Amino acid sequence: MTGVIMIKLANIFKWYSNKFVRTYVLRDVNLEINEGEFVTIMGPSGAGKSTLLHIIGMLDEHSDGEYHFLDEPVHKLTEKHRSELHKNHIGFVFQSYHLIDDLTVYENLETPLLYKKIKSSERKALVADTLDRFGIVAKKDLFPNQLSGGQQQLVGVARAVITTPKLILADEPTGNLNTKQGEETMEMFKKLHEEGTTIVQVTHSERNAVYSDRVINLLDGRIE
Amino acid sequence: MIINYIKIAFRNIARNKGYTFINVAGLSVGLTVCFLIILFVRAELSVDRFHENSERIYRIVSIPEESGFIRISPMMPPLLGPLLAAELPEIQQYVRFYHANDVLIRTEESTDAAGSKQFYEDKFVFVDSTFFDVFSFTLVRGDIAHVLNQPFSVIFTESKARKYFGDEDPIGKTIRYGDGYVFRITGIVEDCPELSTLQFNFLASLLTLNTIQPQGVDLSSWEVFSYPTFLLLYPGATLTAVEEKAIEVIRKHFPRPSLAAPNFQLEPLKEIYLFSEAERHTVTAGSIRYIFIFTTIAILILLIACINYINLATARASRRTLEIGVRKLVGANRSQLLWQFIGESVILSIIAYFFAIALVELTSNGFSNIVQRTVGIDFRNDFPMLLILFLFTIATGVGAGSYPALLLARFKPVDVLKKIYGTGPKGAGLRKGLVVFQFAVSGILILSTVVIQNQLDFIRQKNLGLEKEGVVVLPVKQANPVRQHAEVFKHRLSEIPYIERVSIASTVPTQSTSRFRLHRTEKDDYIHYSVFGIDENFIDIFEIELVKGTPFTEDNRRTAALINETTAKSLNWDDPVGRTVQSPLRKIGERTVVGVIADFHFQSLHEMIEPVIMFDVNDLWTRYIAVKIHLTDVEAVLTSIKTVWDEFAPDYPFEYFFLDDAFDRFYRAEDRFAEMFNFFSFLAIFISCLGLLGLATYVAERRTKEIGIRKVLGASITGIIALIVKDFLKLVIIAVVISTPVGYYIMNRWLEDFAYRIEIGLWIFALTFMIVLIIAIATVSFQTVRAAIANPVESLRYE
Repeated sequence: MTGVIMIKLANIFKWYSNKFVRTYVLRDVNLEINEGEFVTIMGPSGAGKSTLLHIIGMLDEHSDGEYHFLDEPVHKLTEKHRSELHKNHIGFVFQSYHLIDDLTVYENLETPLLYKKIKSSERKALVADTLDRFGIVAKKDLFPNQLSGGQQQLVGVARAVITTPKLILADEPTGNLNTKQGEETMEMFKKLHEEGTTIVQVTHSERNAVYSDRVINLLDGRIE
Repeated sequence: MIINYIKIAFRNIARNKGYTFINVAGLSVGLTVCFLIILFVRAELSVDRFHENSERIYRIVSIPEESGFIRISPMMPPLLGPLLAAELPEIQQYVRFYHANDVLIRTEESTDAAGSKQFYEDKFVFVDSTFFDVFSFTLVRGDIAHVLNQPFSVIFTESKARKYFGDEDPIGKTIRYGDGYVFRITGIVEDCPELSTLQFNFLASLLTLNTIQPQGVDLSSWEVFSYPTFLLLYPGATLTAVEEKAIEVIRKHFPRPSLAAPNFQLEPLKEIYLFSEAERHTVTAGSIRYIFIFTTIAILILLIACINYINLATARASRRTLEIGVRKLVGANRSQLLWQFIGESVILSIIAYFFAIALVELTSNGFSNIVQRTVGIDFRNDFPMLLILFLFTIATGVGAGSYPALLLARFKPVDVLKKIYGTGPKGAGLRKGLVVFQFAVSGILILSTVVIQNQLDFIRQKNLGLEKEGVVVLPVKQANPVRQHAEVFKHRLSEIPYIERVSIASTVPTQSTSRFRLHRTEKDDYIHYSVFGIDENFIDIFEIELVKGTPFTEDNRRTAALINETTAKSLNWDDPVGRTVQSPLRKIGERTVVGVIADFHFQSLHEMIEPVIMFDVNDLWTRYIAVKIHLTDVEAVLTSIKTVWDEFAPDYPFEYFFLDDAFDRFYRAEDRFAEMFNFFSFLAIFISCLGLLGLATYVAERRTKEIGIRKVLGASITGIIALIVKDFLKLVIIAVVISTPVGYYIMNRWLEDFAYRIEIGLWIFALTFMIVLIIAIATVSFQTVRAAIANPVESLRYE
């Protein structure tokens, strides 16, 4: 932990308007996360956990309040700037992996590097490295639908990590995995955390929460 | 990066073979049509450009005054060219033409065992010796400076030289022309290029005409309008200045200056082919209108194909939301996604390009036939064109792919994560609009096809004011002995069974007529009329109605004349019988009108009926024998006629034509046009249906779950079919409503070209509506029925 504040949420509200009715998902959320922290967000279904994660990851916009990411006011950023931040600083891991079905494992890993316009030789090296690190070298030419759930998740994590982001956001990363695969995934997160990556995960599982530094509980859109 | 995109594009294609096929098929057809039209337009625009001096060559045409029935004409008096050249310093050179057709050419010496060759030839053109100074035709043999200097010298084209002389050298040899005139061959010229309005088989020296007098017409008169005249102006000469001066000069020299000389204009050579409204007898004719129409059609068809692509792409966009969301998450920005998707459509269009080129190869012969212009791709020499077509294809791909790409690139990843598949309903409005557009265009094309077909049928059956069935016409050409012994010939034919009547005439309906001027005393001007030389049987053979007075008989024909109703009206004669008209041949004098005949069509129905005056054929010239035959055993009758013919004219091939065929030939251009239209309509509809099929498939897929639920709740199969088809039907109805006024307007404009035309009735619109409706329903129902029949268990399983 470096003491640098990476994520600063102040008086964040999120609502949906349907004609005249406002449905609140997040109410007055205040949160600070330092660089290098491993934070878990927990709460029952419908509490707004995923929404909070999306807002942190700049995938969704808050309805009111202020959000600063690395001291930059997020709501004032252009789409271009935002995608720069995505490219360079944030990696996403999802419950349903979200790999591109038309691409092989190798190509899926390569894709974020392509968008960062990394040179061909460098790309090759990075992908080879990552494949090795995650132990999936033998699968590199297979398509996602040829892999098991656990393997797909591994690839998902590998893809999130290949650009060495500062922040990893994980939404129920072990939701579709069995116990053993889940453990392996969390061990990988632990290792990344030790290397200095900030991790924010959303999960139901108490077992997963143990790996983190602190737990934030969300109930009905408010932090408890 | 690009390789990544290409890989995905191809894998996408492989996974969605059905939709890819629809897209490629539609695009290929659209591109093929565009390519053919582009090639056609390029050819049409390059006619006459090969002349070095093309920018400075002009043709003189006369513009009619209001009172006459004549049209703009390129036919000039022979004195005009030299006169203008002498008086106007801007004129560098002039060339006059005289076109002779149906002349008998005979070689003099025997060529090996075959004996002398003889054929009737067309396009035997007499020209001034300045011909090669003005035009860039290639003289292969012969000395340019002397080749047309002497009278009775002639130049053969290469093919004609081969036809008459094989491999022998024709230079210096002689041929016989028509009645026995002897010409010397002084040169050989390359065959006329196809892209030339001037076409000829033989070029002969104009000086010859001082001796040969075609058809007894007075050569030194200003009344003879038979010589197209071209002028070559010096660089820097202004057209309007030259025109004004020329008109002054003409008025000065034109005899009887108190009578207005017609107005004259100079037509640039480059504009003759496409824009000239002058008579078309002496040049091949094109039309800027056809270019315009075909280009529009090509664009429309391509547009329809692109719309297909857009519709299918946007409809199926929901399948790719996942990929798009993920890409955005891993850092793609909007423009990178844009390029990916546009790239996919470009790849598709490149594939379509190759199919289109192949299709063009396959269809270029047929297409060339229809448009009467050689159209095709010369793979060895025409690389620039292939490149242009390729770039055109890429542009099409980018154009068609832009909107779907923009739509796709805008997806928000968060929508993906929340499993909102946005574009089902979104974009549906535009899709519906596009379908309406496609079917509106198809509706217009179908409407046009029906109208065109109707007009052509109408023309064929219209009352022409004469009977064209059962009339055989024998052209009697120059020097044919039948001319001298016409009366005896006629008598002999009359004896053949099943021949009802025989007539000797100077012209028959459908053939060209000679026009002369008649002075109109009250207005002190001239009307122009067509002259017919007839005998006592002519009116009866063609069953032309006699409205007033008496017909030609053996007794009165020496002094009689007949006029048609239009003539009487133009001259303002309420009671023409007994009045006198001047014969066109001044030496003959006046004739007395004995009767008035009803107007009849002797030209195509493009033309209004003109004034006609008929005189005794013996005062004019015999060119045709018209025979009315009974239609039983036509073969036998023709054989008998041939026997008699061979007696009289053993050296002359027996030729004949049927009058109704001759009338049909007027409309060959329209027939071709109708063919083209049918073809394009079919294509447009085909592509539209492809698109509709794709959309229907997609809709059926999307609503599979809904259909499953409805069936479980008790809906019948027909009920479900009706449900889905109803939505499409609404669109088709809107399309038809739009296409009706547009089609009506367009067709009215086309019909204006005909002096005699149909009215576009309500039934035509009803028919069009029905056709479009049936086609749309048929297309949609196939997929719909399949979806409706599916087992709900299957569709609800993947919940």
